[in-house]
Amino acid sequence: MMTCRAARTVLPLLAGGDLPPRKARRAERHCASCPGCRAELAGLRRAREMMRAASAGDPGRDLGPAAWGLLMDRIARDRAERGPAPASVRGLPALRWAPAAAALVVAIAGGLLVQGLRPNRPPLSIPEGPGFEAPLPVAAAPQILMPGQAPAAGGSYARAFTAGAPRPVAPPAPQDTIVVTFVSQETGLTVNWTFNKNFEWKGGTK
Amino acid sequence: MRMKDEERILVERVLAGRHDAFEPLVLPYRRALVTLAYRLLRDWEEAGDAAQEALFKAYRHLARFDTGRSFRNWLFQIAVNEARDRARRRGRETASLPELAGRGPAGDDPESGLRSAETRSDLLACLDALSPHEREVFVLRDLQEMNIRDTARTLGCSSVSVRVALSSARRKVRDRIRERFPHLETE
Repeated sequence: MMTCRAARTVLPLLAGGDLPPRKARRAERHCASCPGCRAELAGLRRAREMMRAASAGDPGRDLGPAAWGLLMDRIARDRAERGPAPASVRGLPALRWAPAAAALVVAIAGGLLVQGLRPNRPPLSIPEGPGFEAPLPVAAAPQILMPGQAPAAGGSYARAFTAGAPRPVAPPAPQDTIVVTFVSQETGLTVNWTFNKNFEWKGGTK
Repeated sequence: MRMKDEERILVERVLAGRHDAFEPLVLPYRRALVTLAYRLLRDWEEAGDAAQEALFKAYRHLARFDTGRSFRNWLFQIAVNEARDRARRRGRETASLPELAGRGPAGDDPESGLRSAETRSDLLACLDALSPHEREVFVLRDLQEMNIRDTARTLGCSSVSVRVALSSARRKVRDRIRERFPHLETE
């Protein structure tokens, strides 16, 4: 059985028929046996009906011929300026995203290039050996750790060697060239762009 | 509610460059749009401007209209956004209409009271008791008879938000009517 408190929370929705049927039946059963909630529901219904009657009885207003004429003039001017199509982009809906997609590709390519040409990059080769855990680079300046050496605060590795035979990490090799590869997932076409360390274009291959 | 076939044809004509098809497309909703804007803005002149702007935007962005949706609800959505922007710009959201304050009961007979245009207008001014969101929800759901889902979609909020606002709005409207029109509220 629904309590008065629970019923009062749902009565406004019941008054407009906006409760799910099961909940509505429970609330109605409660109201049938509770004069206070019944009166509350009647008041809400009556107020809603009055507002609806007032709204329906009010004919409202339409745009006058002058306002409509102004609107049509504006549309005609817009049409003359923008061509016959009423929208900025017609045709294939996917084309709407083309500029954003192109910008994203350029941003990613730029990010790859900047990342690739950054000096003092940590070595890409991963040393072998038991107990080795791959270093996880973070955003600070790179730092090469020796076995047993704790990483400095803000160092570039979250983890270092934990056990096993000591094996020093190779010093960073100078990065003379960077190759950026684009592969089309649809056609399989592969394009390589090669740059030297001064970001000078060295050629491209397909 | 889905789009009617004749509306779909008219939309295609407008998109094909026949902008004379725009008038029959929007004509059935023009008055409702102005009235909706008025319910939200409480100013006929501004409501007319808002409706005009909404219709212009509808024309301009017609290609983006999803024909699986109701054209009326799409137009209402544009009009609500336009009215909301105007209300925000002009700081009317917190403004109250004082016209009821000095006005007494419209008459002793509730039915004659409801027939009076003045009382109808005064009753609808009870919407001023509502917050902007409650007013939008109440107008769309109770006065324009949209269902909860379409109301939520039109306002760009969740159905739960609509239910919460609707509950509060109905209570506030009932309280305001009780306060201003005790002779109407009690049959």
